[in-house]
Amino acid sequence: MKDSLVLLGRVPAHPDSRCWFLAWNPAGTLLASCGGDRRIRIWGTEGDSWICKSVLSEGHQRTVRKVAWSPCGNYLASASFDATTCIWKKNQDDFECVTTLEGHENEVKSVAWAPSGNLLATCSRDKSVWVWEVDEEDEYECVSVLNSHTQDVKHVVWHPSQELLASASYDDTVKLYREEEDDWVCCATLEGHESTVWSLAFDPSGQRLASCSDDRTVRIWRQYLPGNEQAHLHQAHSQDVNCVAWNPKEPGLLASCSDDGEVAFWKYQRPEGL
Amino acid sequence: DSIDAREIFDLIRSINDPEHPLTLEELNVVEQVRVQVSDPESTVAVAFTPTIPHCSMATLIGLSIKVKLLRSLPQRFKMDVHITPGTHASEHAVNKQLADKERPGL
Repeated sequence: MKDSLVLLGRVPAHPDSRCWFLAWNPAGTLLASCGGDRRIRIWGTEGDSWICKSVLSEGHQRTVRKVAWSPCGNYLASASFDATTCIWKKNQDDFECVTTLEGHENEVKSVAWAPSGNLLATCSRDKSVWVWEVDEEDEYECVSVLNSHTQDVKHVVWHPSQELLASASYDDTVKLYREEEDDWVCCATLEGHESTVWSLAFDPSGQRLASCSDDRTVRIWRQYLPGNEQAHLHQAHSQDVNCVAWNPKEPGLLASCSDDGEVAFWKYQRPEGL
Repeated sequence: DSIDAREIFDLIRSINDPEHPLTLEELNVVEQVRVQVSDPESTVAVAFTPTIPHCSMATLIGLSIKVKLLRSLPQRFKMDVHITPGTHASEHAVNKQLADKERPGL
């Protein structure tokens, strides 16, 4: 029997504007969407339908570019072109903005929580990556401003189990950061893409990093001490590749999506003997 | 009624050059022959030729073309605005900026 993809529903989430990003909560019960209408919407099921459970509309003055759930699922962070990052706390079906993180000089492009829940990273068109610490009283403090990239930083993502941060940039590189002797430093630069790197994803084991780019390729990176090696390169789409995501349960299953409107599914296998 | 190259050219020919009291058509910065459209595929490609290879207004001119098209054409269209190959010293950098879909105003 042939594989199939069946449409369950379609919702007008961000009317007259672009829907930029989606994030499932850790429990898989809610989907957060954000867009050019400056709003965040939280979606859940009611019977067989997907309905909007909340609209978060007072947080940002410009496009909301990315949203990210905390590992515990009680908080949502939103990154906006208004140069701020909002932290929303969930209280049943309601969300309240508890903090606004300021400091970036212009558009914030991405936000990500470390697996411990104690660290947050943001990145911006101002070329920097910021690392923030969260304490028990929900107070946020910037502990590092990393100026390693030479252009707009498009995306940040944490390793699934280590305090290792990765960033993707308009400067065509991917950079990795870790804390060494109380300071955050850039510990590696991955070169190979021929244009803007739009997004990154670690597989659930953390042993592979997928990156996608305006150069229309998806590249898989493997840690190879002392340096890093590109394990695979594939011409993935006919236009910009915007996002790559590893399936959390099935090893080697990777999805990518593009400005050509398509989502592609890939099976990554390490060659025998390597 | 399907959109063709002439219709696209009509949208951009009268855009004023930022530095001179002339339109992009009068300066040969845009020409109908350098416009490609596919209505069924919803794509438009415009190659523009800066007046001199070190023109500092190249990005601004490219943006004004792109913004005009974005405001005038149906949302389904994907726009590619780039410098006519070989006519500008920073062609790659300018094209990359024009292609960045997160750019404010686009």
